[in-house]
Amino acid sequence: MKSFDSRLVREAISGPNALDFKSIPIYLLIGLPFTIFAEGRAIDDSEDLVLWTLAKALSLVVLLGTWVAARQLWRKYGTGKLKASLLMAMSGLGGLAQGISVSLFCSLFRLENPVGLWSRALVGVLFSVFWLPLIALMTHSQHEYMNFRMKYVNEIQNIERVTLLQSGLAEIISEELNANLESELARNKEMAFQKLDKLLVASAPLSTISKELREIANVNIREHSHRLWSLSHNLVRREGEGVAKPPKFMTLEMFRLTLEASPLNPIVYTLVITSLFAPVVIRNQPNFAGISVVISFILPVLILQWIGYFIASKSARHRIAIAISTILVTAIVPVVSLAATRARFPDQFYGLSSTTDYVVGLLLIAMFFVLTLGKSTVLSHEAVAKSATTELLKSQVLVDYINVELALVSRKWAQFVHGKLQSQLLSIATTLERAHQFGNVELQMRAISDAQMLFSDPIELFDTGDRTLIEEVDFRIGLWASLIGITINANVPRNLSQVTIKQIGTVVEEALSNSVRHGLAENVHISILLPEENTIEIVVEDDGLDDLKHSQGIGSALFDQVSNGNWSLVRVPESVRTRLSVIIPIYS
Amino acid sequence: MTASASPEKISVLIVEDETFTRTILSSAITSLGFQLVGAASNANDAMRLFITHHPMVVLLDLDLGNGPNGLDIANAMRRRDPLVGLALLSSMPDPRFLRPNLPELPPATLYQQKGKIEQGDELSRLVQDAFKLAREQNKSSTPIIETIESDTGFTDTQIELMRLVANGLSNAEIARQRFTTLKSTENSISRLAKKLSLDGDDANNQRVMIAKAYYRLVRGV
Repeated sequence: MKSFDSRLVREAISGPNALDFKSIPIYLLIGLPFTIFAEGRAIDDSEDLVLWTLAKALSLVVLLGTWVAARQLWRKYGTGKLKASLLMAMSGLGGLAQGISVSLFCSLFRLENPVGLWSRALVGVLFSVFWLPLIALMTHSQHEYMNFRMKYVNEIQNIERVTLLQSGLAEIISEELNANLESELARNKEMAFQKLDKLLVASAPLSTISKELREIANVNIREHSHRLWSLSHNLVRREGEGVAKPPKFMTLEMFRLTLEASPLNPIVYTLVITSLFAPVVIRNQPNFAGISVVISFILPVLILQWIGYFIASKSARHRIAIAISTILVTAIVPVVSLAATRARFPDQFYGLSSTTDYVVGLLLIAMFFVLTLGKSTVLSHEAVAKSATTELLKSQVLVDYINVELALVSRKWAQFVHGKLQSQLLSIATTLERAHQFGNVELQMRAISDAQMLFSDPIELFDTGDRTLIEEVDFRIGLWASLIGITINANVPRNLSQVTIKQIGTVVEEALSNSVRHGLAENVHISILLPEENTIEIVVEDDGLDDLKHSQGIGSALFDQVSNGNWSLVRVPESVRTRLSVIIPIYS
Repeated sequence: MTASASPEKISVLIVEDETFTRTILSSAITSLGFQLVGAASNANDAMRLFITHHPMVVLLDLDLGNGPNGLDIANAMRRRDPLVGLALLSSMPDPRFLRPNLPELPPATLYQQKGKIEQGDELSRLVQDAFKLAREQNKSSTPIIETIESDTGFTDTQIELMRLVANGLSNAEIARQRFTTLKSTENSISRLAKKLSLDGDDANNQRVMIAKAYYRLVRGV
């Protein structure tokens, strides 16, 4: 019973949803078929059967009426611990009223009453005393479960929606990149060549050519880069838009998580089933046969649930299959033993047939599934939450990947088009103007040569991004080499994925920037080591100041992200150096 | 202020990664009569030209793309030469828009928003002021720290939030990165949206609007 959440039970029987009458009929419908099949089939005459059903229905009205009246009392006087006691008392009171009313209606309709007034009253109390607390528990579970589910459904749906949004954008970006950009560049290239031809063949004025180049750069290329840039803006996550109602399939998803989350608790399950089943059976068979039926039914339930619990606790991988198998076996085996008991005491049973057993079996399966769904909040709230969170994280990783990739690609293109192509065109145009102004032929020829190179292969300048580890690290340290003395020792004799290479590069650059910016270091030594089979350690030591206060910022968030928190930044007093160590797991 | 030096006596180095802006600046500096010693597009070229030519004034772009930014280079140059005049140019009204935890502006360094230079005279004055400020600093016993005339009125937190939202991070991710709670992040973003006078609705997602506002501020997009 370790996983039993007493807080939830307390909340359930004293909380605002404890008497949510809307759900009571649903739970009554689960119990009523037992009495209808058990008692109703004993009546041979069809007219009597109709009257008996009417008597039962009227007694149900009495039961509900008593509960409604008692609810007012409970709401007015029920406080703290008293609430739970009152709930049980009024629950039993309803059962008493129902038991007595059934007998009264039977005598009113001149029906034979096989059980008797006081027997009915007693069983009515016993049967009902746990009903309202049980219903309260189930209702509360349902409310908690719905809240819990809505929270995760919203998250999951957000992720799915964002993924779809991004997938859609990915297509647009891809089209932009593959078709529009190239055709646009080709068109610009053609236009530029025409102008250059004019310059070279027809000796057109440089100022005219310069003006044309400016127009190409300003109108065509600028618009294009802005379009790409705005696309990358749209990749910003659309968070916070509420989802009205979760789709039905999410119930299945959460049900799967519930089954997967924790093994069934056999004692609670058996108690619930016993409280529903035993009073009806003993009322109808107040003899040794009734007791035998209860024992022959409950004992297999308990044993089988324990077996399922034990296996599930040993094998986390197959919990879903084990949980479903346990539910089915726990429902079928007791029905078989029930039939065997009836065969053992044929004279003491009246009216029960094997068809009834099947119905009881099906009801049990349904009830076990309902209980399993409810147990997510009552018994294993945290376990299910953990499971759902794991699922979310899996989706999140995918979304993060798509988000980062698409945003980076589109922005990179936008920067490339806007920053490089446009400015280079404008630069050539300006240089041509200056050459024209000062009559500088050398400058003029250099500008024309630049323009020819630019238009011969404009995409050549675009960085594809794939590098080896050495290239990546060289690139990163090359950016900082003029501001700090850098030595490096990299001995990683294996092929690494681009993700790992990029992570190493990012860590190296962040460490270098920290050494320069906050440590004011003059020298830094970088070691890239392979301490274990699946990890890489990056050690960066510098001779900078003892300034570790900037450790909580972008850098630490980055180190946390790539190393799962497996990093440290310390001052080594004996060598008067600051030492950063980041250990990155290697993903294949 | 000391007496102003004539432009032809002031040697200038330009550090700007965007080709067009670099060309325009070079043309303008030459046209204004200053002595242009070189134009670099990255930290390595900048430091090489700085060591070789010993310019009197360096005009540096703040955002140089990957690697060191203008502030990093300015700090390195200031450490090497206390007399060099330094002026940082940026499209951003405030360097904090580039990224958080940037180093301080070096002593006697000017910060100028590019968009506010409309006339050649203003550029000329900037070079002259940077030249004079460095010499004043050399005579002063206390560091002269220039204040940035930022009219954005945003706090460090708000700028960082804008940047993170514009980078597509969720509230939970922002909270994780900033070592704060989710609730605190949500409240901060609400206050930011209020300050920006942004109200999200069905047609306009608030986060997208914050991202747009951020890019309007930093790039003028």
